[in-house]
Parts: sequence; C-alpha cells; structure tokens
Amino acid sequence: MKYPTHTYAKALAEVIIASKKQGEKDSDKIVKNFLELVRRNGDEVHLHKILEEAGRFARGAGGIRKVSIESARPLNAAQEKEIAKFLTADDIVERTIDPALIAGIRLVVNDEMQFDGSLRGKLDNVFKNI
Amino acid sequence: MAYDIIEKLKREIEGYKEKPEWRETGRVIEVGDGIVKILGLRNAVSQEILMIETAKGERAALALNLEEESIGALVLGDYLSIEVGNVVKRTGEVLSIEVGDELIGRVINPLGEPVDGLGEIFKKGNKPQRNNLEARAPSVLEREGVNTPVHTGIKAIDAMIPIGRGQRELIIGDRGTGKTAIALDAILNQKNDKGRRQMICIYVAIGQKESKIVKISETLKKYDAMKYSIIVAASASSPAAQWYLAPYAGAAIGEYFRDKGMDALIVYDDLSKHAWAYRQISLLLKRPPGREAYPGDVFYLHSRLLERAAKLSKEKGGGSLTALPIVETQLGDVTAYIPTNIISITDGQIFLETDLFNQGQRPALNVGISVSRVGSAAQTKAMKKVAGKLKLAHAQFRELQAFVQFATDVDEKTKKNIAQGQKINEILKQDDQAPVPVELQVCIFYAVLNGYFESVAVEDIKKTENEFADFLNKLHENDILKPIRETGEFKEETENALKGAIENFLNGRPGGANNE
Repeated sequence: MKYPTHTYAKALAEVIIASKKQGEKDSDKIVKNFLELVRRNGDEVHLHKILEEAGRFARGAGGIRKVSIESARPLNAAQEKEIAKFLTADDIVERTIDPALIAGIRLVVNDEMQFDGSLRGKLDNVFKNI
Repeated sequence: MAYDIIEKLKREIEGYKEKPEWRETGRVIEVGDGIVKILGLRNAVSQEILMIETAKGERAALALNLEEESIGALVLGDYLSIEVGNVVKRTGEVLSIEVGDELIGRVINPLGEPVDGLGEIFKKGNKPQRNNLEARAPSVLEREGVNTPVHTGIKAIDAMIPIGRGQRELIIGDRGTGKTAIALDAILNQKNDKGRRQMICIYVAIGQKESKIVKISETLKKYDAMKYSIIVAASASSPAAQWYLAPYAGAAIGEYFRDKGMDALIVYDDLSKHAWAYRQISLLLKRPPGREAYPGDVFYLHSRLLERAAKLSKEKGGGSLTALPIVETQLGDVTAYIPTNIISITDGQIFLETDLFNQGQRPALNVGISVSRVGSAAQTKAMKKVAGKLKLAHAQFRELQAFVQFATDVDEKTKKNIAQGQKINEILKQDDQAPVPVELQVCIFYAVLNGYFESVAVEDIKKTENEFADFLNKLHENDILKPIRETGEFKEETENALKGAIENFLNGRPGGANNE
C-alpha cells in the first residue's frame, strides 16, 4: 500500500469539503480523479475502507450525523413522524429491518452512540443477572 | 434448579425498570489472535473492560491501545466467536479480581475463576473485596526497612543470601537447574518457621505445563502446605492474555494480605515467559519493537509489578509482600535483555548454574555471584553469628580450590583448609522438598565451622549431618532448638549446651570416645 488508508481518506475528504466551500457543486471530477489515483497506486482493494473512513471525516468536519435506524418491522406513519422529530435535514439516514430485535427500535448515531429501545435488548438485560 | 431459575426470572421481571438510554458503542473492525481493533468508544479509558456482543454471548476485552480513531483491545476469554462488526460497549470498570481469605488453598486462573474443580470460591450473597490488577505501589512514606526474615529452609540461602519480608529476590538460571524447586522449598518451609507470623504463599504459574502445575499443587498438598497457599495458574495452553495478567492477579491477591497487616510470599514462575507474552501482545497491537523485539515498556512492565512487593510501615499495618521472581536464561547468558532488566529491579539474585548442577552440587547455587542486597538486615542474630564465618570460609575455599588444580604439593594447613571447605560444600548440598528449619541450620553450621566434624571423612559428612540433626531433634529440643527458634538469638548458655551436645553426639558415634 503506497499510503495508509487514513491518509487517503483524509485527503479525499478535505478536497471535497474545500471544493464545496468554493461553491463547486460537482464533486464527480474529484472522485473520478481520486479513483484513478488509487488504481494507479494499486490500492483499490482497500477502497472500501478508504471510502468509509473518508465518509467519517467528511461527516465530522461538516457536523453531519449518520443515523442508522434498526427496527423489527417497517415503521408505520405515526412512528415515522415520531422519529422525524429527532432527525435533521442534514442527517444521513440508514434504515434496516432486523427481525432479531423482536419489537421496538434501535438507533445508532455515527456508529458511536446507541439507543436501544428493542425488546431483544430488554430481554438480554433481564437474563444478564441470572 | 428449574424452580430456582423461574424464581430469579420473576424477581428480575418484577424489579425491571425500563430506562433505555443513550450508550456509547463501538464496532469491531479487526480480529486476530486475541487482539481486536475497535472503532468508536471515544471516551474509553486505558485498562477499561469493554464488552463485545457476539453471537455466543458477551466477551470481555481489555483496552490497551487508545489511538486517534480506534482502540486496540486484548480479548480476555474465547476470541474465536468474535466477528468483525460486533457491537462493543463500555463498562466503566478497570480490570479487578475478587480477593479474600477464601482463596487460600485454591487454584485459580488470572481472572479469579476456580480451576481446581472445588466449586465456587466465595459464598453466594457475599460481596468480596475487589482489588485492581494494576495498583499503585506503596510510596516511600508508607514503607519501612526490611526487618523480618523469610526462611527458605535452604541452608546456603538462609546463611549466605538471606531474604527479608518485603524483599524482591530473583531466582535466575538455565532450564533444569532447580529454580522452581528453590521457590517450592521456600513455600514448604513456611510451616516450619514458627517464631514469626505465618506467611501466605502465592505461586503464580506463567505459561507452565499443565502437568507441572498439577505436580506442584500435589507437592504442596502432600506436605500440607496448601493450607496457606494459593496457586494462580496461566498454563501453556491458555491465551497470551492470561500469561500477561497472571502476575498482576497474583500481586493483587498478595496486596490483600499485605494491606491486612499479614505477610505474603509471591513466586512468579517465570517472568521470561511473561515478557514473551507481552511481546506477542505488543507486536499484534503493532507497537514498535525494540531490542530482541520486546516493546519499549518491557522494563516498566516488570518494575511496576515488583515495586508492589514491600514492607509496610507500622502505621499502615506492618504487612509485607515478598516477591521471588524467576527468570530463565539461555546458556547462562545473564546479559540478555530480560535478565539484566530484572536483575537491576530486584534486591539481589540467587544464581543457579548448570555446571554445578551436573557436578552434583544441589541446589546448584553459585554463592560467589549470588547476592542479597537488603536481607542481611533481617537475618536473625543466631544465624548472623555463624554465617559470617561461613561466608569467609567458603570464599577462602573457592580460592584454594582453583589453586589446587595447578599444584599437587600443598602444605598441611592448606590441605586442612581444603578439607574443611569440602565439608562445608557437602553441608550446603541439600535434597529438594527437604527444607531444614533455621534453628537446626544454626547448630549444623556451628558444628562444622568450629571444626567439630574434623575427624569425619568428607563422604560421611551428609550422613553425620542427618544423624546430628536427628540427635538434636530428639534430645535437645528444649534446651537448644527452642530458644533459638523463639528468640532468634544464640545466647551463651545455648552455645554451651550446644557444645556439650556436639561432644556427646561425637562420643556416641562409632569410633567416638564412648565406643572405643
């Protein structure tokens, strides 16, 4: 690997943020050039990691949250409305259906903070002391 | 059983308070050989226990590397069920172990779980004290000088390399030179050492073969020493994490007794293996390697551990923790990295040599380069009185021994000195698992050094010594052995009684005055 993942990710994130600040709306060219560079260096196997880390950098710099909403079943309109109170327009929202939760929802923000309102979590807590 | 579970479940459900809250979480991004890399958990502290949620239940991990983006953690249990993407939670607790008097007589692993099949250690419902594995060593003000002896029951050590309570004395030598045997004898002798407080002994096995651990535990049981001993076992097949934690777990247990005002003896068998485990962990955590590929903080690894052995001041209860670390050398090379480090940390070393071992000198102690830097302050007056002479006589003999190999013609006086030296050497030989109580040692040394055994041939010395010990045990328990044992002094009347006893003994032997 020519450069560490961390360095690639930071460079990409900073270039995109700078171009956005200058009012350029089209970041396709930057991404294209970046991919070209990674390919030239023969580091495309690490692309997955690089992009994930770059996303984290960019979100951190822009104060954008990545919110993942996990629920046992698709949410109904009333539930969506409740959740919407918590979200802002800038948030990147990921929704997953995970029947293992049994009921309720689990929110994870930026992969760092978790709110576990699922039945699975409650059951785990009950059984933990037995 | 089923009823029990149902009742417990009922209680849990009744008492369940719903309070879902925001919690910090992380994610496993790399797993390998007992090490995991975790993303997130920005506020985790060093040495914190983290819980990894795997498909087979929760697994504990110890946070060691706190990096800009991630955490390098050491998995404490089974790491095979951990997968990339598993959620990790903080516990807010640092690694600790349950301690208490209940541990005495048990074999545990470094996490405090029993491994001897004798069931739970602490009664249910009791909340035992928890001691952190990493604890601060007592400060200067909390300590006092070493002033009470630890008698190992090994004549050469108790006389010439005395160990005091609170001291750190290294046992160093190649493999198969009897390092463990010395430590084991020291543990066995604690039941003979009556004049002082009983010591609690902790044997920490680091990377030892399971069979050796069993053998040691059997030996301790056989000699009734398990009544005051604890074994902390991290066997060769256990993960490196346990090898790394075992000495700290042992120290945490030792500190419990030390802080209670009791005396404890801890044997780390051995610290070279401990350094290997730490090297493995450090390399897997991608810490930069230094000399012999050990990480830069390998000195601190051992210095902070051995610093916890101390003699506490009276204000702090006057307890003590004595450490006997063991280090294995390769081909007698004491200048390797780990041996030099530990030699400089400890208050002296007992050096064992393969050559001496093969010559039949057992314990294979090299008296010339073995030292004890503080122990002489703790030696009993009785032993001091005879040992001064012994050191001198032994040193003179060593000089002559080298000289004898060149010259065949030596004068009468030198010949006599050599014969005396050989007798002393014979007296210093000792079988393992046969510690000699210190009062008996004093009498034996007194007899030899004052020339009473002059008429005994070198090859008969061992036999004579045993007979003499028997004689004293049977006939002079009250007038000689008891006073030395109880007062630690060798008063004039005792000396006179001993003189008379030796003469009686020699006269009663075949060839003695009464048998002619």
